[in-house]
Amino acid sequence: MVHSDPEFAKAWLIPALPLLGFLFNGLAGGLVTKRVAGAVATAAVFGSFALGLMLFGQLSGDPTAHINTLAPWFVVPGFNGAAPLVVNYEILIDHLSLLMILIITGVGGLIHLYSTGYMAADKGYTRFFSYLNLFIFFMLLLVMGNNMVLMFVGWEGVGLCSYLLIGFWYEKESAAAAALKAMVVNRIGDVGVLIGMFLAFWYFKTLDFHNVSGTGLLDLAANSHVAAAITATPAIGAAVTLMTLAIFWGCTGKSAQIPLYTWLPDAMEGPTPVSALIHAATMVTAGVYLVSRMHSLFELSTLTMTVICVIGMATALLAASIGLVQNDIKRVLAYSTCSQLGYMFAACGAGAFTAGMFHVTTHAFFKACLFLGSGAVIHAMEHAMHERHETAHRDESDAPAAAGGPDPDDPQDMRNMGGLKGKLPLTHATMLLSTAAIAGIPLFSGFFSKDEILYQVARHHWSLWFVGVVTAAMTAFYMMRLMYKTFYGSPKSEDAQHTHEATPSMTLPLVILGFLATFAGVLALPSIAGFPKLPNFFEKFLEPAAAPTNPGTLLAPHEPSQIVLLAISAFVALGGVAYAYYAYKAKDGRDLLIAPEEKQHATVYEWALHKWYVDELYYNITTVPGRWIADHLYRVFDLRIVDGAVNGVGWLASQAGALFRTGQTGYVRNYAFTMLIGALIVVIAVLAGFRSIF
Amino acid sequence: MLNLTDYLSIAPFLVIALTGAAVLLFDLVFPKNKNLLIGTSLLGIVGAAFLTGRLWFQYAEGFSFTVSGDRFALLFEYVLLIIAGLSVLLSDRYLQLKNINHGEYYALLLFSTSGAMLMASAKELILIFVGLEILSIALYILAGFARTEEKSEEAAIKYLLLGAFSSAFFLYGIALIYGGTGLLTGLHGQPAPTTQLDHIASIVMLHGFNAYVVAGIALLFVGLFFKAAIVPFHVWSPDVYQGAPTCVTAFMSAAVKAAAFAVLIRITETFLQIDPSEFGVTSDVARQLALAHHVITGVLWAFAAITMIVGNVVALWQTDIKRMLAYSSVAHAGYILVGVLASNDQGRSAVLFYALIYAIMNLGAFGIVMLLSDEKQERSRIDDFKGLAYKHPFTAVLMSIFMFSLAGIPPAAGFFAKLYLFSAAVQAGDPGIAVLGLLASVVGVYYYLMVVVKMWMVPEDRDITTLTWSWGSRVAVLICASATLLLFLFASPVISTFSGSDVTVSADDYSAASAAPVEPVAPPKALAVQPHVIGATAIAQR
Repeated sequence: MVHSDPEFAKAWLIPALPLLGFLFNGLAGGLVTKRVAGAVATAAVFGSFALGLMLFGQLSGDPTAHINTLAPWFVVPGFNGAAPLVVNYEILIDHLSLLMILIITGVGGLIHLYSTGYMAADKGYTRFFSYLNLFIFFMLLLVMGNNMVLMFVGWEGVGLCSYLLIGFWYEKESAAAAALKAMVVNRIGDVGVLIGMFLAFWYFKTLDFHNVSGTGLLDLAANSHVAAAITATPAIGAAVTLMTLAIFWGCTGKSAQIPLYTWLPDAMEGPTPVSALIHAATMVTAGVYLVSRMHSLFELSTLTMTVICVIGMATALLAASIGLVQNDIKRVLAYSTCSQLGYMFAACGAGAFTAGMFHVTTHAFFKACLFLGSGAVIHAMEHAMHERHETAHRDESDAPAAAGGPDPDDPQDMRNMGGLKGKLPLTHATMLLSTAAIAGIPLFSGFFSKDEILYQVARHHWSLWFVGVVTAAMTAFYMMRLMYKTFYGSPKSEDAQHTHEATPSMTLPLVILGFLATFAGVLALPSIAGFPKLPNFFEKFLEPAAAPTNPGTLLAPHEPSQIVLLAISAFVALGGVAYAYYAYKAKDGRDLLIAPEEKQHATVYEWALHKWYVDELYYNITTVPGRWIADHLYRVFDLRIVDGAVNGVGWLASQAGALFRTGQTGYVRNYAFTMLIGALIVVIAVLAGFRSIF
Repeated sequence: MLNLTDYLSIAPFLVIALTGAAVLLFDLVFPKNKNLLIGTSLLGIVGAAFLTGRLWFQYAEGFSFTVSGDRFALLFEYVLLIIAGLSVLLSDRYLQLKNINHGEYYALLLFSTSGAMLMASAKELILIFVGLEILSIALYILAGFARTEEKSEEAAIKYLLLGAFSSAFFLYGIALIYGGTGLLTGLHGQPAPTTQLDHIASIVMLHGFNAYVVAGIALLFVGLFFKAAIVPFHVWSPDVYQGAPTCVTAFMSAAVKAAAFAVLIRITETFLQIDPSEFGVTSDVARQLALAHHVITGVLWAFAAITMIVGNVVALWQTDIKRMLAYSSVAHAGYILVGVLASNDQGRSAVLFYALIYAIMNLGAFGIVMLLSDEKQERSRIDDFKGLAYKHPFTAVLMSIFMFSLAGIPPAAGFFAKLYLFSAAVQAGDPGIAVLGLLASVVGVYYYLMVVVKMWMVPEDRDITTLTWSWGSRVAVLICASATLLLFLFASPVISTFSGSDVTVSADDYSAASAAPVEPVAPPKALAVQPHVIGATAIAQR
């Protein structure tokens, strides 16, 4: 059911406020104090959040999707009476977009608040906030657009902002390179979305998600007659498969899945609030949103759904295994994000879009909290290092580290940390809660969301579930490793002893997010056969937008015993955390495989060591041959064929240009002669054309 | 006997011409105060815009139906007024810099504009010719306005000689048509030979074509192709564009093109818009009309193709940005020709839309080129843009917007302008020329983005001095840039205003017109038909 409704006429203000914030800081930011700039940006996002809450009040219990047409944008008439492409500024308010709005503006607002403290000393302060607001605007456009064109504008816009913010410290070469990498890898994915759009318009004659006449893309896909017709015609079925796979290809770029995930870890070069907002809580979940938004189309292709599920689980495992051995605190979290996104896609592929979106929600809370917490740690370390450089100029004992050891001036290297628990108590407490959530400790939010996903994939195939459980164990391990190396044991550097807790503008968002990360699970309690039915608010909320419309086309489900799965998950999570805690406690937070002379204790570290080989193996299997292939492709395909073609065209063009230029002598008589020839051609051509009537 | 309607119909360009005269006078009385002249010019332009708006609501065809007040004419008048206004604003800093800040500049600009407006609304060939000459003579002088510079002198002489040459073709075309229509009707005595487009249409409808009329049409094309810089009649444009003062080049590239295309559309529509199925057209005439359609679109097709290709390819080679923009304007003329040959409502609205957007983005680009020049030197090499973004990021952003728009890349209005032109061609059943246009514009991307690359990615190799904006140039360039973006965001309302801007060819009222031109023709219905509605009905019919 779709309604065009003036009741939601104010909804356009939600994206408009951050846009105004961007314009203010972008145009007038240089004229006001930092305080004002930060306040305007933060207020704009919280203003949108308040409007989002109002919408929530209006929409609760109303299962219809609401369309609000703001203005026409453009119309491309069809060829030979074919349907025209009509694209309007149209926003879609339903439970799915509302959920995303609340996450984007809620978590986004907290991160804005945090940034006012984190970026306080940065010279690009107003630039930073204008980019952040622009990002929020595009992200809202992405989730609120009622057609694929607006969605795509948002999609490209967040990519642009991501590029600008990863490369925010553009003087740093690595940051500029990482920004470029993110841009390029995402463009490769975006081609897929474009192809998907072309196919969608070709076959469905519209790019609207919904419209009032019920002929939007998703209206059609959800129509059982249309769905039956599509599945009955192999050619169209294949086209739908191609279309959805193309769109999913775009999602693997934006949401950092195999094979396009490589940009995300590098993206950590950006300021930490950016990592929290864009590369954990919101932008990277755009792919999950898009699949959920278009779920009725995706469901029409069993192949696509299977691919999504398998890619998701494979990414979850792969990224988690890499996360085990990273020393940079933000890189651990980056791989963790890839891994968790993999879970979300696996849920979508299994047809459990609600479960996927619930994990998007809880992940936004706990991962944003973890990133902001790591930001607080880095901030504190940076200050300590700064002070060290100020006071003890060129201390002789401050020798460079041994080969392979940590850089003593790297505030993000966990090997320089340790024992921060007492120095940063609030940061530690909130991060610990979030760690419990992401590890899946029972009763924390992540436990419920992750368990629901594991249950849903188990309904399709036990192997997927098994991979999920192994990933969960790794997650518990690497998160506890991160916590131990950062907060427990003895301080590993001078600087770690001189750290201080951050300002309230930074700790307040941490506390709120930590609270949400702990308790958000109550929104969607699992219903277990044989037990009294618990309320699942979340599923009920998203049902109108995300419940499968064509369940028959999904992989044949069967019912595993959920209580057993729950128990295994809980055991794995607790075991992983406990194992990591005691293993690292035994080594005072030093890594399990760092010093060759400690190889006699190898039995203890055998497992971790083996994982490390997997990581190496991964590198050798994919990156080296990838480079080899790329190199050869470059030599053969690019240099010979593409460049050959390009140069050939260029050569042709230049030859033609030279030919025409020779006529450009500068002499009027030559010009007049050229014109005379031209005139003769025109007259003769016209007379010749009419010769039959003379 | 002239009545109020007559005056009303020419009021806009009358006002512009009178403002030009007033500017001359003020310059004599207050020789120091150039701002007064700018203010007077702008006031006149705004006044003319008002009067044009009045005509929009109160339709008036004056002077025995020789001056049209149809929407097509009025919209072109608006475009020309926008061009004139922006040019007036853009010029003063550059004129001071070149030490040619004489009051005549503004007067000539306004005279030229009034000529262009007359061309856009005239329905009579002699009148069109008068407009063409008013436009051109003022421009010949303007091209040589930097009198101390040899380049400028050379440009003026070249433009004058070749312009005279092309005017002769045009005039000869008019003569042939007059004679030809006389021969067609002469045996019967009535109606009389004519140069009135409506009457030509009715004569053709009754008697078909003869060789003189056909040759006349061909020669009219030659004259207009010269003004619009269609290959191979474009040869003058790079030299003149480069030699003329940049502010003149800016005005010329936009205004002359718009006026020439307005006339070209009016003339082609005279022959293409007659519906052969209508009352009493003999089968022979119907066959001839079909043939005319075939030949005219065929000729336009060929010239559009060659113009798009040559313009883009030769622009690749240019090292001087004014020359590059000259060839780019040749290429754009080719694109516009695609819309003309589509010869449907969409084609016309797309041409209008394109003329507007091309004017805005091109004036903006020339505005930035002017900004780069300093007292010592005209900085118009493309290499002069090297590293601009390091010193002046905002200026570089503006220039990038114009370059992206000219290349037709979203989010700039140039994208929709091109889209609508090519989609009109597809709609008219000619996807071939649209594909050719797309391929040609791919070549264009290279040389436009080269400027962007030079600004943002190549370090500067000279000391870029501080750029001194005058308030006028600042306002004008900002208007151009924001309009370029806003017309992208709000393309649909603008294009639907333009659609339904039919050229009125009233072939059936010849007798009434020759008898007593009292009753004004019923105003053309505001055919604000949304393109998608057309599509929808087409589906319904199918």
